[in-house]
Amino acid sequence: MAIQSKQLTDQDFDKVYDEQADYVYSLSRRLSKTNSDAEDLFQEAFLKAFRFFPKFRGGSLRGWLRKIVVTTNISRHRGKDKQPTVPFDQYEGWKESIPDDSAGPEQLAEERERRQQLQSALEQLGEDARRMIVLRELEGLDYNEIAETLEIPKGTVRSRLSRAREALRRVLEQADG
Amino acid sequence: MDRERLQELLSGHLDGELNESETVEVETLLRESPEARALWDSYRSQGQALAALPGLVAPGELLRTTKARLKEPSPVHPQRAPRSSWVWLLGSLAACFAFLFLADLMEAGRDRVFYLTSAGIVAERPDGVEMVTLSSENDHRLVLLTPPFRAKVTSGTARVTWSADAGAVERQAMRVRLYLDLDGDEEYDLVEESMAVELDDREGFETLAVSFPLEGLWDDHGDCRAKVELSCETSSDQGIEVNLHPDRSQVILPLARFEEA
Repeated sequence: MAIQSKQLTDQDFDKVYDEQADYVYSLSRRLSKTNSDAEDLFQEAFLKAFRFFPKFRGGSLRGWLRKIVVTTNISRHRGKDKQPTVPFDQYEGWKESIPDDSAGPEQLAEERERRQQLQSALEQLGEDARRMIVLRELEGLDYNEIAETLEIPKGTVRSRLSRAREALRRVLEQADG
Repeated sequence: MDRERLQELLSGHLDGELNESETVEVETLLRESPEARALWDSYRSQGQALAALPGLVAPGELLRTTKARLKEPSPVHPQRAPRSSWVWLLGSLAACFAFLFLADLMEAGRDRVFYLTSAGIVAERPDGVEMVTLSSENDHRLVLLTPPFRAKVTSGTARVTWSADAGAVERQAMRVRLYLDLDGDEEYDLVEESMAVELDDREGFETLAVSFPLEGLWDDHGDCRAKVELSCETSSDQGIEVNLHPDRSQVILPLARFEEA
């Protein structure tokens, strides 16, 4: 959705909310350790976006929302103690947006298990590593965009991303037994 | 080659972020080292699997409750009674004159110095010098808060200075995070993190400084609070000593209309 620089109204924001809610939820969930954290992050990010919306200067709406979600996520986790994790498959309200009807039941079950394994591996990473993986591998940002989003130097992106990939590899290796 | 460098080269290569000589180096490694190839395959396949994860659908209940919260009247957007146009015009003209008269005096931000002490960040210059150690006992970090104050954070540069001694241990570094709560809701609206600042390996304190450009995104003059987090990356059991001398341990913020709350 492209928004031009103009006097932005609450109606404009309603439209943004309706169109971007799934994206913001998806990003919030991937960045969070638990469903409850994801819901809190989603809500807080949208309240912040609503507040700052009149100052939105146009450009990439997703980029603007992404930055709000990520900075909200960072500030929420500063100094926060580790919380117990709710296993991903115990959350009834969770569902994916693209069910693959062409696959058979066994393939679907395998696919679902693989996705759960990945989500669970993401949840086992530290906050910083998870953020790096989400921004690079899921959001597809390049190093400059990650540096800009996280407000860190580009060199730091490279080293942190490398550590994050290695951490994820180890978690997945352990899960595979 | 150490394993960490290998990981960083492979990860950078996967993203097309290596320079020419690094690319040659990693391609040689991929030809000659089974360890490098195995790692490369793992990184690549986990990346492909993640990229293939589908988007999620926000739960309906969450959508409804969030939308309801967005509709709640907020102190940020106060509801005003309708006013007739001439009252509005007169009010606006008066406000313009008042603004022109006072703008230079009130709005121009100036650097306000706060001092880092072990008990928190204070506006008044402290008398003494304190020493704190960042070690495993405090998770290698020192977190200090200002008391609440009222101000408008203007465009400019925020700076943090401190002095530290890592002893004779090589490759120690420190990092600063600056948090600003700009509306008194006890949540930080802005988080800035510095690059890792390397410390020398000579005995004795060295004075360090980092700065963060602020773009004045917030127009409000309101309740604010700042937090500074000094953290260190050290392999030393003794940790890193930080000297809180008032001349060397400051956070400087560009503020207009500062008032202590």
